[in-house]
Amino acid sequence: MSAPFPEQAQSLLAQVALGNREAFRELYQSTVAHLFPVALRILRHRDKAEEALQDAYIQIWNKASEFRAERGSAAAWMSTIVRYRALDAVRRAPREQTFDELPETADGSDDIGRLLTGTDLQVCLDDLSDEQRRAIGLAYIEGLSHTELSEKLASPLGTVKSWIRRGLQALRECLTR
Amino acid sequence: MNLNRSPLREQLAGAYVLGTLRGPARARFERSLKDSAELRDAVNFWEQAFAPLSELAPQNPSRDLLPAIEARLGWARGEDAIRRLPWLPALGFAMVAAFSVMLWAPWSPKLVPDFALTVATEEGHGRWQFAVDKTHNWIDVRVESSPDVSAEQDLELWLLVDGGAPVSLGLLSEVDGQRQRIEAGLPLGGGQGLAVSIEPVGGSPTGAPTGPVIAAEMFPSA
Repeated sequence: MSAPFPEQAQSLLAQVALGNREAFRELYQSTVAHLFPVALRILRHRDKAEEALQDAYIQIWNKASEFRAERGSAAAWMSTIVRYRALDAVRRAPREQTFDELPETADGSDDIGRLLTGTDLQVCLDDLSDEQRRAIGLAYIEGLSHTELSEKLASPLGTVKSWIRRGLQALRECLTR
Repeated sequence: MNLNRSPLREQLAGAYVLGTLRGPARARFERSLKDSAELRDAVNFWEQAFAPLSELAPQNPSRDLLPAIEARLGWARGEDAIRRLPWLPALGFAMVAAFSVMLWAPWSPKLVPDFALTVATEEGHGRWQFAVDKTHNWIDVRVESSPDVSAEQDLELWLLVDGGAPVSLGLLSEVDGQRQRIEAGLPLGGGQGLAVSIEPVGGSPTGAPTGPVIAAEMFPSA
């Protein structure tokens, strides 16, 4: 795993909630390189990813007071906002089948292995079938719909839906054990 | 659909966070989310659980992005840029003031925003960026994207007042990218918000919103 998400993000968010613009700029500078790839993997084009990122940072400025440290990390809060804005953009304008930059792997499986070393999520994803794990990883990282997953994994739609459904169920049971 | 049944709730929340819940089902789920703390907890569980998958190899966007964000937030760029220059303290306040006036005088009086607010429709077709100046009771609007309305309709902006009837702030431009200054004429502050409704041409005939309210957002409490 490369440089981690900055720890000071949480205290910067608290200052941003009070309307501190310098804190917002610092928060932006220290987090943008972590959040841009999240949007880029879903939207596939730099300009579209940058638009979604703009929306996300504006939402971060406006909603900073809603961040609750006891409910989770600043990294999770911010990356979730970026993902939802990117997913919104996908829904508004369906993606073309081209990439500004190709993902490192075709199926996302390397990413999943590299990202998760030592986390509960890794342990629980390891318990899933290969198909369930790949479907869930692709849906999350690349924002693929059921239909896109069905094409990419060359499997019937119903099968893909069931991988996701059973995968989520097994993950939930494992993560709360 | 009974979202209180736990396994179904977990499935929907998981599919929502994953992004595989789409279309009208996603919009319906987002509406239920506002009313159900249990549903929000279920979503939070998945958001936290999946967060490690967002730690991708860092990559930088274009350098223009932060200035673009600040512009959309309506921040007074001149003022901030001047303050950041290292030689500033030596020059003294008077010169800066003179310089600022020179810089800004040809345009309309400068709005000094206390906070910015984005108001958007649920599907995101309509989106407006507001900067609110509580000193002058001014609101600057930038139309990010205007939703489609028929030729017989206009979009009207309302100030939501805590415990009172909404106050009309006039009609909104339907041209994307357009900027407007609104002089609210009454004190702006806590417990208030902004809403956009669809009205007959020329605005509500009754002085209260008559059409559907398509977007609303409260001012931040801080």
